[in-house]
Amino acid sequence: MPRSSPPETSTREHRVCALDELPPGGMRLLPLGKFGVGVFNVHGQFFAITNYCPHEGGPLCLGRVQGTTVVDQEAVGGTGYVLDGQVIRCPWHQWEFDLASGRTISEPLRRIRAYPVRVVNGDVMVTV
Amino acid sequence: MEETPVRVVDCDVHPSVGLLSREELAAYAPEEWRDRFYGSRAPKPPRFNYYDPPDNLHSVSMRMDSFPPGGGFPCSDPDFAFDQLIREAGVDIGILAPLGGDEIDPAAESARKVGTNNWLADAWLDKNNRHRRWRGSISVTLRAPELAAREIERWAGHTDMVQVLVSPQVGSFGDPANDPVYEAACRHGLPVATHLMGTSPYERTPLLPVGNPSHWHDFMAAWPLLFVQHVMSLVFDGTFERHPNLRVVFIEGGFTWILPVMWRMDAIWKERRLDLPWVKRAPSEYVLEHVRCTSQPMDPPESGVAEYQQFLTWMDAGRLLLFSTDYPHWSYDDPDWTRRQFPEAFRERLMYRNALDLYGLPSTVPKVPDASFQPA
Repeated sequence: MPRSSPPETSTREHRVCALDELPPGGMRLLPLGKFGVGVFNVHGQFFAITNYCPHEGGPLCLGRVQGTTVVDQEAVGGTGYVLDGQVIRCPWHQWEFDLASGRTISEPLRRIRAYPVRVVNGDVMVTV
Repeated sequence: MEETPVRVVDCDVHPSVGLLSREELAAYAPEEWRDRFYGSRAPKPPRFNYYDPPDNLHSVSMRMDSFPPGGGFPCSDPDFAFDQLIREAGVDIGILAPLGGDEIDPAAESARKVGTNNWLADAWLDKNNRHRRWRGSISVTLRAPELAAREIERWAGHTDMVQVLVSPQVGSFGDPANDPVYEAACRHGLPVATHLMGTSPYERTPLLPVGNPSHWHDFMAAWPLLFVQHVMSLVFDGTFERHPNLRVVFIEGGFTWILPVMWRMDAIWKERRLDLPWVKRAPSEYVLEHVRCTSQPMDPPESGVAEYQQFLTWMDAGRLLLFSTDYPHWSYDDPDWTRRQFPEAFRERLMYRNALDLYGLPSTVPKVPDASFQPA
């Protein structure tokens, strides 16, 4: 089958890279799980999500990471810009997800699988 | 070479000229038009991009992952498109429909289409089709029917040109003035397909019956209205009686509208059939025999899935529909996802069988390795 690799049978911790190889705004895609797992550095905090959009199955981690717009009557034009550097947009249909929560911005009931990330002895580690 | 059975035919793929220079493009154009189209003093009338998906400044309405790594526009590199659409997404045969080329002047429009055909045949079908996964469209304009018929004759012998492609931003398809085009298409067993030509001169933008739409959203949602009028005209102007072998494919205009259109045409025909003696059968019969719609874009209801499936059965969707992705555009539909949106009983016909029958495509293609997972 396209876009797949052998399923992981059990959960374990994997080394992603050295801490200084994943600067803020960066992403590392690892061939883990069924679709791959992307590990993101968002302003110094690390998040990991599955490389699969719950909409049509697009390679989510290859999307652009920015913020999102919200209604804000105080802002110029009534539009505010929030969550800068924390919102990923699927490259196919531009569905937006909050990397920190794994929830979609537009349809919060659809969420993506997120994985725990920690830094151990200067290495970024993800548990998948 | 080992063969594999065709299980997915994508009836809407949009190749682009990409990084070709003006000189290279000029070489494909008819000689007498080269200077006017590509010369240093060539006029550059504005072409509007009406599409407004999110992040459009970056995406220009494309899949963000479809920009070729070597540069150029999405679907301009046949090798990268092959990797992404054939090897990764699992499409077995993709039918290429180049867009654009509409002009205010019908003769210029005709010349643009000639250049498009020369380029498509050369860059995609002749040089980059050893894997036998691409098929092409002969682009012509209904606004110059005699030139269009001649262009169809020029390409009819090319084994990989499998349909005729026309812009829908013209007068009624059923107008007898179009007959030379349909005669040429039918003579060679080529279906006539149509797809909105998005980046057209302002004058060629389809207006709604009530005038200009306020937003891109109205424009997109109203797109099927254009196709509704062409379907009605093909039926009531007797085109399918004059051309019994004609098949017309409506690409990317949705399909849920066609059932109420069939109902309404049938009702009117029953009441007043003697007015139009050349319409010999119920309009819905002509539609089911002669018309096909592509699956993308889908607009299923959020709830009432069982009723929706009943609706699909009612409209004989398993017979009417052809699968399409719209690659590389942002409204792309994935084959695996699309397949799951339809009742089991329709899937084989939708995903490949209808297209194999319509285009006379082979039931197997040379096997190529699936894409394996490549970490970035």
